[in-house]
Amino acid sequence: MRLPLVLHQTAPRLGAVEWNREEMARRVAGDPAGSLVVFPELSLTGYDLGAGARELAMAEDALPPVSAPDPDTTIVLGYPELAPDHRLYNAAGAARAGAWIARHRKRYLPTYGMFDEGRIFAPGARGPRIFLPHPDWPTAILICEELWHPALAYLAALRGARLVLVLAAAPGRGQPQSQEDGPRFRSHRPWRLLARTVALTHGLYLGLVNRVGAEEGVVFAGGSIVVGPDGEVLAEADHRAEDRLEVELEPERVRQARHPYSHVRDEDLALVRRELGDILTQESGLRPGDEQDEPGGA
Amino acid sequence: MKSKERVVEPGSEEARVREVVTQVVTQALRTRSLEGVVVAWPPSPEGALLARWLRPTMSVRVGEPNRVAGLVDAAGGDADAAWLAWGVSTARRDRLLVVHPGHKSLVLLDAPLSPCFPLGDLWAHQLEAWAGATTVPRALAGLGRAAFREVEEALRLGLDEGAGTRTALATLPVETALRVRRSLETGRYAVRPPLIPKLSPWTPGVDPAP
Repeated sequence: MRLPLVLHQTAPRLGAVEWNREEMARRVAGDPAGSLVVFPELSLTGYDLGAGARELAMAEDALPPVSAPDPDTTIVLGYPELAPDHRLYNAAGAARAGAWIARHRKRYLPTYGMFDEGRIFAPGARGPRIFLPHPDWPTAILICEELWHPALAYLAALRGARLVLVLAAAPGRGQPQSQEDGPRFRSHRPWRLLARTVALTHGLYLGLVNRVGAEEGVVFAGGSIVVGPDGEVLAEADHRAEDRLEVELEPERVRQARHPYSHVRDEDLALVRRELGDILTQESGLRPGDEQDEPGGA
Repeated sequence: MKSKERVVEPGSEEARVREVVTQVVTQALRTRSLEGVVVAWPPSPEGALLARWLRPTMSVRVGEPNRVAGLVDAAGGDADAAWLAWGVSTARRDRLLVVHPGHKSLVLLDAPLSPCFPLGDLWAHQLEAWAGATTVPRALAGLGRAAFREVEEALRLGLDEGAGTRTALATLPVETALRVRRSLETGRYAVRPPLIPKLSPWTPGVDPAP
């Protein structure tokens, strides 16, 4: 069955939880029944939480999902989660009919340069899991930086994802360098390239929703995108203003992308496990006496 | 007769940068519940540019040198301090954000005091076409504009291009490089508000989360 995917590229207000919640509910009310509706990373609270993260963090059972008028609509949003063991996580949750049905805790927390997430949040312990916004659409969630760690999208694909959602709060950086960039920040280009590569490699849809707006010197770069399983860009949002993308996902398009190609079918998990085990047990990745492959060898 | 103001071309680099600067200042006003900005620096091409960029969106107050002149004596003859004092008192009275229009080289080398530098990530040479001219940092006084351009290019290579300041400054005459290095060292930590001596278990600006 076809699935309407809606990405809301919003500008959440920092610390204004109720305002953000109402704004999300207002937007969901206008979306088609039975949609999968997605908001950016930390869309409930804003991104630059700093010392306020613990104050704004919520335990899942104390966090009422954003309501949708239609019980078959699934809403995915980002929030700071207060876990029972008192750790904070940068989390994303999926809710339907007033109940949470899935959650992902961000594993890779950027803590370099302008980013400070590792000082605020604990890293999630698991890779992405599958949830079903509709029985035909196994879906996995990644959060922002995690798209740059290809193993996570790979794991999602191996678990059967036909759709990967990426919730982002990616700042704009760098002057545009070419006609191709248009007026967009230079940092937009690699995000677009990564999204297309992941979708094409694994034969799945990818919906990346990035936020816009500013927080204390940082401007978020928007440019949300929906990519088909053949790597084609199906919809792309503005780079500076709030925007909304709606694309109907078609099961047939996934089938076409995976047939007659056999990348997904031929993936050799035993090989990957063997090689990873080897790398993990040997710091260098090579045991004494192992021979490297000849350059150009098969 | 009204002076003819330069038009910012839609889709141009100036339009893009103006939009980023305006967004950031607008958000800062919203989170601080303030109503506009006050430019706490003597009239300058950069200050005029900033005012031109921000005025369509918010209230922008710029000082009159005559009024600030009266504060210079009280500030011990320090004109910058007098402008800051005027800016802060105006800001407190009228619910404004104090801003300084210094460009990146000036912020790095002169380390002026201000809670906000809306143009502080733009090199002087980037601003020149839009502002008509730019201010040479006090740290480079007497070197001339050509030398300033060379210094700025070295800073750009060292910082933005990742060459490292040691390598980049080696391209400059030794005396100039020393002067720049000294100013950089002095200014390096000056633009990190707030400075609060840590005495309790949780200190604003020092500790990340309670």
